[in-house]
Amino acid sequence: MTNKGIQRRDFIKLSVTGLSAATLFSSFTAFSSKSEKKSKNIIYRTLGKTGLKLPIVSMGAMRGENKNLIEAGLKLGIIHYDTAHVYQNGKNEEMLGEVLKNQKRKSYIIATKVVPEDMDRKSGELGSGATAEAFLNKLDISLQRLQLKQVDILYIHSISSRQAVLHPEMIKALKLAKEQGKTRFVGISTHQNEPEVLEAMIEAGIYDVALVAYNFKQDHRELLKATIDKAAKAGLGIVAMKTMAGGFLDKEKTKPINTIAALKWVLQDENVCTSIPGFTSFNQLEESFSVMGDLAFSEQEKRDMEFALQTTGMYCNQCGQCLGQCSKNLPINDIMRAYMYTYGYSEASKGKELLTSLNLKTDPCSGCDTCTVSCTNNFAIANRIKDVTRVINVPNEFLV
Amino acid sequence: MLYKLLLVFFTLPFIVNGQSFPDKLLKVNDWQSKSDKSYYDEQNLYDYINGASDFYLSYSFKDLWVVDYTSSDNEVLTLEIYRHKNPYCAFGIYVEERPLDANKIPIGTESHLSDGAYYILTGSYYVKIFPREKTNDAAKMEAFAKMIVSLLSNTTQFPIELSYFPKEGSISETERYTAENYLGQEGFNGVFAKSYRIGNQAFKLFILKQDSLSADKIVANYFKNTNYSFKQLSGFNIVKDKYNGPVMIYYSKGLVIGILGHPKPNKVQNLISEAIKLSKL
Repeated sequence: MTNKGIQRRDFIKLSVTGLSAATLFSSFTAFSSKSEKKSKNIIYRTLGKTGLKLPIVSMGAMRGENKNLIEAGLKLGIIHYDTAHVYQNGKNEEMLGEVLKNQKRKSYIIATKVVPEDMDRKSGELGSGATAEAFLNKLDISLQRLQLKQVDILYIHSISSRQAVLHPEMIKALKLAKEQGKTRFVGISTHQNEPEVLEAMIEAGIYDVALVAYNFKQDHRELLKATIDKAAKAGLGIVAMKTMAGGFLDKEKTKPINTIAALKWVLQDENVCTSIPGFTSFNQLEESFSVMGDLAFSEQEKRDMEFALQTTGMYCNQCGQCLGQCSKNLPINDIMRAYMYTYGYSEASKGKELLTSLNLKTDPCSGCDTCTVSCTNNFAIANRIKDVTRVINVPNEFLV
Repeated sequence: MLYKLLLVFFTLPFIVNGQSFPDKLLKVNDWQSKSDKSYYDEQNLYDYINGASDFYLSYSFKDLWVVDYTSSDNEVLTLEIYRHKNPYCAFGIYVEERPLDANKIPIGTESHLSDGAYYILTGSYYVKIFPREKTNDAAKMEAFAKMIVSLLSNTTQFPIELSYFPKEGSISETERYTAENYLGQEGFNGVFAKSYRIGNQAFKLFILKQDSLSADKIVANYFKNTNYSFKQLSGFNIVKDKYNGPVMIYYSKGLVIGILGHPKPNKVQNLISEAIKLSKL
């Protein structure tokens, strides 16, 4: 998981803060109400309204052909394991079942996922073949493989449309699965159109957990972050996946990502209860164990995230093309610079100082229905302005 | 020179290009491909097979074509062609998904049939063919499968390392190829393994064959990571691996053979000796 350190000039000293306006306060206390240290080494968070308390690092067992990895995870304190009906044509669930059958049932939390029948891969919508019966038949097979009568979390696998989230047969299947005692909680896993899926889950009101692709590299990470916040407030437990963002910054795979730093970036969002990286080596497992107890960036991790964020477009290149486009004549490039200070370099005080000098209000975009600014980097300007101008109201003693 | 180039072009087995669906696959026997074809590569395979894509990617998956075909009888099938970096990787993902009770059929390097669907290993390709309805004509489906294989690759040989595994005590259909991190050790890549049962004890025999320089490094790193003090890299060593239990490793000039999962691996050391003999045949 860890690269060997990407060498970059250390031109900005990073403070140890979270990267979200929503957590500016909580990131400066040792642990907010959302995180607690049950033991000296592990941070636990509560999975929404399920009430389950989980370590912030769990395990995606999908690459775990080595049973010893799972056993090592159990010894380290990893409680939650994630698999799916389709992984390795069922062998993944079978392997997990073999390992966990020797453990006390209450000592672990297991999730599996079932893909509905008749899902259009392009639109993500379900056809008439997506029946509750077919879904539950697959679940029964999964339970047999896992050697369990009940899983803790059952997800509908790989959902990307509102239609699928609200599909009556899927809702029926999940309700029946609960009634029949085959699962304690239900949810959806999604790695596409996540905000739309999350909004629909909130609307449906029956879901307990959302397993969401979430990482620093996503183009829509700000919208996703905001939607996750909304979902968490609605009681949904949030589990993050794909936190390593593919392992490389570029398609050619010449720029490796510091995956520990990437994992910390996600977990610094306290709306995320836990994450499920897939481990294929004991070294990866041990490294992630260190994250379980400490989310602060090391100096190297700060540098690597700075480089990664720069590469993925967190930073405005100050081209000035946006000037004159705003109907209120806001100094967009300066506001974007404040955004960089606050969220890129974690220097919120510097960001606030800049915004104050521009005489801006907390929500300078209010009154505008649509944003007239077109950014050459395709930044969501209105969202960024909204996110960064919140800092104006944060007392100085809380900022670094 | 031009003549030689043309000769090479026409005599090579037809290769599926990464980004264009080959003309020769547009119509196969009585089956006509539909115009709407889907192409996936390493960046978006997840969109097609979600989290299962991690397995494929670990086996150096390159790209996938998903194409529907219709016959003159209006039957429909779906063809999926997964292309991997090399035949070893294709073998790896194929056996990952192969059930223990696989119903094998003689197509390509190996194939099996499950619920009317074909799963075929041929060269660097892992091919899947799904009938839309279970009532599809089985003979026509099989003929289609054979033709696709003949168009993709003429390789029918398994990786040579598989011939090194002794038969005594071996459990059928348990061959595996781990592309990366065998034993949970980073860099311990490209390992074949097979399950055995002798007496009441189940365990695995694993084999890695590489150039000496790479293999030296792999073995030395493993010894270092497990804090194992060794007198010499080559020969027999039993490592007390804190995660995997006792692991017996034999190493000589690029050939690594090991026993994993047996509490007293020296009791089945003869299997390693047998594998060494087979490797020299």
